[in-house]
Amino acid sequence: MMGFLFRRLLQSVLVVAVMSALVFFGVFVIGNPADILIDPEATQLERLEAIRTLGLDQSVWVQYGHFVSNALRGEMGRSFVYNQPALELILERLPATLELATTALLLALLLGVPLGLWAGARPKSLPGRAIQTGAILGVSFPSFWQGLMLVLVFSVLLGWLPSSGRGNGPLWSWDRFSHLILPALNLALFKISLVTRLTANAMREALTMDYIDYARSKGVASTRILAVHALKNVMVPVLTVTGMEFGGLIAFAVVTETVFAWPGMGKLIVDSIAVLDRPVIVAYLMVVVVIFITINLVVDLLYSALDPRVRLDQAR
Amino acid sequence: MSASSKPFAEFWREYARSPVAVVALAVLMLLLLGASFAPYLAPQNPYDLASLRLEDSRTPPLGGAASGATYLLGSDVLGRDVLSAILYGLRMSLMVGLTAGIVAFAVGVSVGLFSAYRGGRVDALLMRLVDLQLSFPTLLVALILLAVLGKGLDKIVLALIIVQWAPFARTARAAALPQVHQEYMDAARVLRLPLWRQLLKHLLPNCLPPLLVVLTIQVASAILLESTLSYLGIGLPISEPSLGLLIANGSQFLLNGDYWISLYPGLALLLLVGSLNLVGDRLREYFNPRLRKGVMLPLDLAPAPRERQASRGSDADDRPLRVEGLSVVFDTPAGPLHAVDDVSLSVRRGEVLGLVGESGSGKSMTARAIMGMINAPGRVTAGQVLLQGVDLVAMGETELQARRGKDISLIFQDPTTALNPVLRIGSQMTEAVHAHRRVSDAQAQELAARMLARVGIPSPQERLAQYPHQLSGGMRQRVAIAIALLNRPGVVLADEPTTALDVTIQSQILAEFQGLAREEGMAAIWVTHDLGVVEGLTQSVAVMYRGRIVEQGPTHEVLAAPAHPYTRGLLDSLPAANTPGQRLRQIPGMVTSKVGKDPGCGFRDRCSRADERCATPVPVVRLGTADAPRSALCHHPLV
Repeated sequence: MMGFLFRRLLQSVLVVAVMSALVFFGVFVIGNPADILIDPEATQLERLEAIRTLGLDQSVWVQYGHFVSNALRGEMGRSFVYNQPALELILERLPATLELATTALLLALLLGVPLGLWAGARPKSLPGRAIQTGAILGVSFPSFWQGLMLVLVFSVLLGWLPSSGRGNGPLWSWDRFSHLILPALNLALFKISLVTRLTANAMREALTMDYIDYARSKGVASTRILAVHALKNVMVPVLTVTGMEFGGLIAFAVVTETVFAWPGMGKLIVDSIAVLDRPVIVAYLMVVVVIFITINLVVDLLYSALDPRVRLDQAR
Repeated sequence: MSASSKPFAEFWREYARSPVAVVALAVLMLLLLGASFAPYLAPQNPYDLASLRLEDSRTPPLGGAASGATYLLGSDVLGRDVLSAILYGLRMSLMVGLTAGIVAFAVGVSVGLFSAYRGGRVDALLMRLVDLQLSFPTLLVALILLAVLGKGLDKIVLALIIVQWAPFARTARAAALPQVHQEYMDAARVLRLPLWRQLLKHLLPNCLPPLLVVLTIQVASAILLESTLSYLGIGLPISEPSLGLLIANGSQFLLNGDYWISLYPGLALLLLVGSLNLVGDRLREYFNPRLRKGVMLPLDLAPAPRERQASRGSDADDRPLRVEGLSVVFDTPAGPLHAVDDVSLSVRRGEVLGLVGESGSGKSMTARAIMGMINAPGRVTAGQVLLQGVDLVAMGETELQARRGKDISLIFQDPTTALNPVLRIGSQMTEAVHAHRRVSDAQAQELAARMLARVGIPSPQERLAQYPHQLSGGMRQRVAIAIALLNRPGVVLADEPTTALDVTIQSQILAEFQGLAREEGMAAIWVTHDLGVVEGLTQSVAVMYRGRIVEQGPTHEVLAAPAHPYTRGLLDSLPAANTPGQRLRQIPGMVTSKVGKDPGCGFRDRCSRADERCATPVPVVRLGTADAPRSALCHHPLV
């Protein structure tokens, strides 16, 4: 176990190093930062001076070295727009995004798993077919348009729920909750459909397995076969894939946060891309990479807890 | 896919079994037509700024416009007809999605096929790259790429290709891998055909079905992704609006209630992506026949009904299992397949009956049919299975459930797949007890441990807490036997349970089973292809060929003087029956599966005694005594 964690930690450091290189060369080297960073009205002398202070006259490798040593000290540069440390900007907005993504993940599991189980156990029945077709349509919704339609119906026409912002007060207050409902639903719909399809397929697959027939041959009640024999096997892929999909939720929060003016880091990154606020883009990417690596680790631990055949010590 | 003469007609028949999929295909066709002929269908050219009437700005659908014109789906802020904008936007969305999808297909498939073909390190490296790419959400990668590349039609298509090639590569590799070592590929290698020709000509056609499914789904997701990026303002420029940009343009008027500017383009997008996904899903089902079969477990919550009063026959106690004329038919595309054909047999208390035959003879299917466990597409078409005088064939699943594991149990061929990998041995044993008896969990555990000890498993208490993968193959098979005997059933069926074990363990298990059967007074059927096992374990034997029992009787008599040429052939092909150093004798030909009913002898193609009479209905030849009856199904019996 400790050996596994140690190896994974090393691997993670490697991935972060590779990603930092990709991000650096992708964002810093392609295109000329000088054109964006320096006032176009500046004289040639001021220009050269600025290039020197920014370190842009150095070789690529020296610049990358600076970037890495700064990053290790937690410095990702200052945002051009907000004139504030970029990492600080991101971390300020991280809790709002996590709140949204976690709620959506819970919704996806709470609705998707039971629906998928039903559809998988009864794929030919009318409700089974309806759930499967609904799940396919669910992944076909343009997420932003679906958000707009939620606003149209629940905010504009019915006037029940607010259309933007995160609300005020403590986390459990009605104001905060009412602001969370529509964005969370918007973000969750795609994942609910995904989890439903995944669960249904895993269930159908499980029901063709030998161990199902074997349990039948023992006279075990079919409710127990479904709820224990099939479900325990189904949950292995469902929970691991859903865990991985948490990263997707954070990515898609970009869209939801834009539609609902939710003050998370997704909204920040879209705005930053529009004005090419590079330090913020880089800081966002590095934060996201770290989140993804953490998720992967958690999923691997979860996987070994669910499937007794998986031994972490022997894993790659 | 079957080798039908009209593959398309057959495909369509199967496809059309889902009405939803047919509607989706029709919608998709309509949208494709609408997009293709947009310039002829659209009431106006939405990009011809001179033709726009600014005074008609934001006219509701069919509402009175200032200029007197009517707009079926309303007009936007510039007075542009929304329907026309949708048709042109559809064109743009489809163009982007198809271009990106097809190029990504070409790139990904090339990489995937190459990777499978080369194997080794190249393969490992490429697949790591694919894994890495797939672990990042496409939206995020596309967002960053566009931040670097900038706006524009070419840039967005490039970004979509970069984020979409990976699933094609993975699918192509997975589909190609089993093909790479097929004979035709080896032949191509020997003939030194150029690499690309080998890959394209030989591999691609075999890998196409799963790739087509991925293509439809990837085109759908490319369209969604493009519209999302355009909505976020980093996709297409405003001069070439796709559906995403139309929705974005209308979104600012949503709060005023001018819903139509955003609603209709979004609906069009939903229809397009939804129909693509539904068609893709149907194709996936079509190409994966595995999903078409399977069990339908009744979701019953009611308690099992009380036992029916048995109409006991005179010898019901002596022969706890009697099978009369049992037939199982599998419905295949080529016609009905008679897997079990008019099988009759019976077993006495304390007797072990050997059910012998080659693979595919129907012996395992007979055991499953006795248990009432024939899954679709198979079904029992005739016959009775009398267990203690009660017919199991006529029973419903809930009634059967009360019998299975209690009065009759089945030991599966392969305990590795039969035992549930994620449940402990203990719970897989106790559930069989709890299913039939009201006992505490401690009592059930105790019972399980005692039964494990009886089948020769050391330290049974520890085993109960273990998972199947922690036991050896022999241990797992003993566990399976222990589970079958837990409730002391009157009848036990064993489906080749020792085939996968080595000889010493096999003989240990056989000896233990024999002892238990005698002590418990069980009636047992031991399914096997091994006449050696039959000789050592059984008192009577039934030989099966192509679904029929061709000979049965007391084991020593049948083995000493077989009446059916097939039994003779089986005995002769035993290595022990041959002279050392001589070529092994064997039955010529192979068991062929038969579709449709054939009244004649199934063995006649391989039989040296066969003549034209053998194509006519075969008589049952009765031999032996009333005490020890023997029979053979043959025109020309050897005895």
